Amino acid sequence: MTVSLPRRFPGFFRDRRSRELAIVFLFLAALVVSQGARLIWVSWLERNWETMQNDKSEADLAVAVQEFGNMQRSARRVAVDVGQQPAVLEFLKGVGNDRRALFAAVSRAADDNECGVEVYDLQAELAAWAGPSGPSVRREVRIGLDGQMTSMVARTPVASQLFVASPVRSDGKIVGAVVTRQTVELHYPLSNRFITRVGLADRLAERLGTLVEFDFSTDAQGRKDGRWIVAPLKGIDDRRVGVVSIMRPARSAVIEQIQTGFTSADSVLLLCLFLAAVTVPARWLLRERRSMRGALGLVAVLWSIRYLLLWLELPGRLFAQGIFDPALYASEFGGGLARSIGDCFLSAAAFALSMGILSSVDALRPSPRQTKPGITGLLVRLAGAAVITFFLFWILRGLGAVVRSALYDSTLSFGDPGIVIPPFPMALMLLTLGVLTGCMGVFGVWITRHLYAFLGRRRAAVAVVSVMYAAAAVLFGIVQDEPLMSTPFRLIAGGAWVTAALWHPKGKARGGFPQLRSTAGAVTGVAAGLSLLLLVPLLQRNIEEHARSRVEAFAVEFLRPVDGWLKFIVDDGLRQLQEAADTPEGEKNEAAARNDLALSAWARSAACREGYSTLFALLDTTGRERGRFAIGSQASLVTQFADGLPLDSTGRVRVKNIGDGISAVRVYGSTAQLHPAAGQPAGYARVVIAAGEQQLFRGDNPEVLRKNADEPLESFYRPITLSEYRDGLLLRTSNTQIPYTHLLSDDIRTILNRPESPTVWSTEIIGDATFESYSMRRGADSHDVIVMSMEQQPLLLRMVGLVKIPLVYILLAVLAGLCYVIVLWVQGKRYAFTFRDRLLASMLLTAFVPLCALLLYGQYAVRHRVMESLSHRLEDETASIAQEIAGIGEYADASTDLTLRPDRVELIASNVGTDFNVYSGNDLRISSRPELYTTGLLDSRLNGRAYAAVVLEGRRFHLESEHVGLYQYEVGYRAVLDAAGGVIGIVGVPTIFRQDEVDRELSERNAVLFGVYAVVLLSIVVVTMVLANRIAAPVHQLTALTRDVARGTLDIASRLPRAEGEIGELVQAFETMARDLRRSRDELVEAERELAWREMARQVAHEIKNPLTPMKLSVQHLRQTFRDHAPDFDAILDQVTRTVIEQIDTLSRIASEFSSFARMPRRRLEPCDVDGIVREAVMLFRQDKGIQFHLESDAELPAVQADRDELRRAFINIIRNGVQAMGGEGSMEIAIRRSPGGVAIAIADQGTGIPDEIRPRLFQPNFSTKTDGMGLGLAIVKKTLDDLGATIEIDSVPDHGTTVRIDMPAGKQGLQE
Amino acid sequence: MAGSLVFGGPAIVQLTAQAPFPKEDPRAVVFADVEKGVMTGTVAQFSRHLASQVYMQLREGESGTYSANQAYYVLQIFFRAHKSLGAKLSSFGGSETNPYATGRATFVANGIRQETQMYVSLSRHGDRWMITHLSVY
Repeated sequence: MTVSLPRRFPGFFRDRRSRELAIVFLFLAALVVSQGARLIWVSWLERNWETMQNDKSEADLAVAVQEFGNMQRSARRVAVDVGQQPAVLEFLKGVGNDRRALFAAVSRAADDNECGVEVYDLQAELAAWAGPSGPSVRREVRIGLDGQMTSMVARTPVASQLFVASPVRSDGKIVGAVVTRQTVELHYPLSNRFITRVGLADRLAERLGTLVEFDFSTDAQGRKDGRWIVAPLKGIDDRRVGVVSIMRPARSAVIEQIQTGFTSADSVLLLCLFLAAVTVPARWLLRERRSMRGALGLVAVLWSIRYLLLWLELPGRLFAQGIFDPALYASEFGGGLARSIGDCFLSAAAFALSMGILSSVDALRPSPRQTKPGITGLLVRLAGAAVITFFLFWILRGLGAVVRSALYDSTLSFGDPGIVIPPFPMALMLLTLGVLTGCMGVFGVWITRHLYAFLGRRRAAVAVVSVMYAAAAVLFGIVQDEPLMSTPFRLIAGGAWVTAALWHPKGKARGGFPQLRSTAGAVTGVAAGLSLLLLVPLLQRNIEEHARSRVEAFAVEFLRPVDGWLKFIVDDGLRQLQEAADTPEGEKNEAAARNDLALSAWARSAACREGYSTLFALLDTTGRERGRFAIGSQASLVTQFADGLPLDSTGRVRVKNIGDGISAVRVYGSTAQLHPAAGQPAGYARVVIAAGEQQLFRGDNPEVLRKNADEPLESFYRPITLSEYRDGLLLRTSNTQIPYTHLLSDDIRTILNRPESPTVWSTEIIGDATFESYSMRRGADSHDVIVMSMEQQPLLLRMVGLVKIPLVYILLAVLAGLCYVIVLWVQGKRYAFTFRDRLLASMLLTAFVPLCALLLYGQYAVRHRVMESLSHRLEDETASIAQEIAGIGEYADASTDLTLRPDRVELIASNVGTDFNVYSGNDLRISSRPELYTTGLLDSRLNGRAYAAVVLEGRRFHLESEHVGLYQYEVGYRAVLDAAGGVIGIVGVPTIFRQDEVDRELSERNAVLFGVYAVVLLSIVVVTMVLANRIAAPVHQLTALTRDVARGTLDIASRLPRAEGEIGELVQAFETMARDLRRSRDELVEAERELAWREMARQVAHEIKNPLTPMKLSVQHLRQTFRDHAPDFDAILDQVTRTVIEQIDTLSRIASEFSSFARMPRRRLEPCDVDGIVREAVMLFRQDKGIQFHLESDAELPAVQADRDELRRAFINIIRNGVQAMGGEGSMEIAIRRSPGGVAIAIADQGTGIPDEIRPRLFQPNFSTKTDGMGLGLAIVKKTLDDLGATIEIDSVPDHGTTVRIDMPAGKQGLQE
Repeated sequence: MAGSLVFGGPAIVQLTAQAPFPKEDPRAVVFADVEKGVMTGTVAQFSRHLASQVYMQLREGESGTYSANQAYYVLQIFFRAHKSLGAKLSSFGGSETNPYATGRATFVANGIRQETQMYVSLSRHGDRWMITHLSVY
């Protein structure tokens, strides 16, 4: 006989181990190939660099030329399509005179294609327009009206614009022309957090990985040095329109790029290799996970993978932005485990998995001590419990540090009430914190349970642990310098652990930690609840503290040395001018070109980024100004200062203080010589900036005019206002709620006078608002005190700000559910929706649909209300401005050319309190913010739809939504009328500088709306879950009871659920059915027992009769022989006695078997190792050489409580039946597995099988298919197993074999005495 | 919005740089560490001097207020993309409580040489001088 594991995968690759080995070698080979490929590639590159460089440059050049061509073709298509529009054709043919329809069609085309569109009539007069304007296209329009298509690229101060002119034909005749305009290139990138503008060169540079320059000037030659390659650009009519220059790739840059790519690939391969290599031990460890060795091994594998990812810088190396960008979040914890949001999440997931693995270890399950300790033992236990308590609260403090880091080491605004549905990085960070706090919660419960078990008696243990936790909570607050959380919070956490540790899942043994497998939902629910309980107050506390730290950071920035910083700004400006002068544009002498240069230099400078009033100027060698750009509220001041600066080429910065008191301004200026490069004329660069005392020497340009301006410190969701006091009196303030007579409190002045306390926090109530104020002296000896204040958020807004946390949890639960359903679908299974699920879904749907509808309506109503309010405001403002302009009286009628002096413009803007523009026809004539148009931020042509509405339709007021890049703002338009009612101009008031206020108001209102609805939604979810559970609970209980009844358990009266109504009637009917079934079963059992006894008696009588007959015959024969005096009487006597003795033995055997069946032996119950007993039974059949036994068993099977000999006899019986069924030849498979609650044994033979009609009688006493025996074997087996609470089933296929399945409960479960 | 220029008040003054701090001065130590760190592209050279909140502006890179931990990693990424060819802090100034230094640095990024200016400002935190403003433009 042999006992071996079955061979499942004959053949090399059918062996799992071989497959795994092959995969490892595959990755190893890939790694080696990658290294080789890298060397070969780099080497090839070095050898063929020139050819490769030329090929790439040519290819890049071809791409650039093609892209430009595509742009032209697209513009041409738009022009042709517009020309075929019915409204356009009708107007141009003179059939219709409806310019409004014409404007509508043109506007639609411009919006759909994001370009400018213009329609010209046969007289080359502009009939309708939409989108951006540009240089004059008269010549091109004429060409178009002559029937030819043409294109051109023209430069404006800020951009190069492509326009395509296309004739409009109708019935073979030309009736007009259409021109489309599109920005090709920006001469400087003015992109910030509001507006993104990228030209074709930037897009191509990103795509090709090299520098690209377009030059559309008339004599453009492109870059001449050997590092660039140049190609001409042709228009639609094959006319040269410009050149494109591509920088040849630098060898070092290309090699570095290749190296980086290979390094990333190698990192991924190394990771895959490692994962493949650990698969084998990991699988073994997974099987052993319930042992300490296996669990620790799994944890070690998990963290080695995590640290390998860290070492390889994955996945951050592949995804440098987004959640792996340290600008969003980075902490030094663990040497980089939390160096980004993504890394932090991976570490948290590894931590949670580790906890899950350790929690399933059998040895780590708490079990109450059986022995009562003495005094010494008790003291030792108390000391041990105290140490564990300290350890637990120390880890809790660590959690506080993690949450604090999430605020202080990140740029995420967790507390912003305007963010209800968080963006992905914030949601992931919240999820990470949720996982960690959930783990902390579960860990605390686990520790607490162990403490309960450790300390022995339950009630006393709970009391002792509660006292210890309370003491630790208080002590940590006293001892720690920076406790990171409040004492009440620690007390609540301790209380939650004490309470949760008392919970036991139904049906489980007391003191046992619930297994995740069986109560995953309950554990997840508890973890989520504890997570919320810990996270929300921690986060709120840190949000408040972080807001304060932001104020302190602003204070540091405010105290930054002004002179040094502004000198730096000036020096940077001079450097930008030098760089601009070194470009090909720097060679041009035209004033417009020099102005453009100055503008371009400004746009790239720190002065632009910081938003200072600035002048950039280029001077010739005699000091005469050849080009300039000025911007800002102090533009006139810097200009006058610049005019007075000497031609000093030393680069020293001069400073002048102008004015004093509140209006004091400091002006910084410097002139530097431009270092002549080859072919460059020498000259000077001059930069002047101004910073006002009132603006605290910071830039005061609006953010839309700043390049890449990040959000200023003082404008986050809790705006910081500044006030300055001198000797306690208020000098100035940006806080409109502070009255000008407000005094600095004496307490603050006293504290600040102490040298050891240069700063102090305080709370002030001013009017209806409460402010948190940070006060500091301007200098050590200064009498001036700077106070930075932020208003406390109302409770509602704070709650709204925190709603995002449970929303993230719900979102995660929904995603997890979806993933589960998808996994089931992939496996070919279907999720079985229970009654409770259907009930919950119906109730939620009934509530959600109207809630969503209300939410959408509410959002619409909020937006409508805000826009209405804005519209009213703009109406009033435009009316005031129009009145002021008309009232000046200088414009008698509509024929007067509309102009205003700059000081008048400023005065009107100041009086009305807003910026404005005035248009004459479609041209901009007046603006209080000329830099908006000089910098190219806005188009100077009147919006076509506005023209149509105000001039053509005669509307008094028109509100138009306009946009620059992705930034949308509103503009109000109104006609300026003369005394006769003629239109002399159109006033436009843009909200571009106030749009962020409008957006913030909108977002705050929406936030409150969403927040309230989110709270309602959460409440609905909770209430419906509770209700659904309560309604469905009786149904679920009845379902469980039905299964019990099917298994034969009919004593269910005490477990029936209490219910009313239809469910109550169902319960009563079920109870009646169970009672009837029990009665019927009892009667059946009785009848069967009687039948069985009768059958047995009949069989016994039959069996007894069998030997009696030959006994009688033998005795009769003996008597006759004696009477006959037979000569062989001795032999006959011997034979007869032998026969009689044999038959007596048979009778005795029959009696023994009967006695064995009927007798209830005295069992000796003990924990039995099923695997060992089965092996012993198998060994008894070792003499059967023709039988192959294959035995498989799980490691660490639970012990079963049984009589060892009795159980062995049962197995022997079953095995013998199988051996006999196989006729002594074949194989028997025995599998012993761990099952839920016990052990499952399967014994399968390859015998003749059992016919279906016989199977129901197998366990009947005295039933046998064999010629010998009493037929009691299986009946005894059944009885034995029944007494042990086990079940036995027999599956059989005739001529194929039989499988006997036995399920035995572990421990003392199911025992019957 | 000023209307006309008032040439009252102090006369035009010229800003000149002050002498570097003595080598043993703690401020000089911080500036020297920054200079060396930028020169070698090693953040660790001066990361211990980063204040809890640092205002940073980096050329073609991030701009904003970051914690010391964030600043470390942001600078690390910046130096990886911009190979330093040299750095020198040459001008010093500021007040007793807020000294600063400016200078130049040269980098190579994507094969293109870039000349930048540096600005470093310190403030006192307890008994240590910490970097509160760092610009590489």
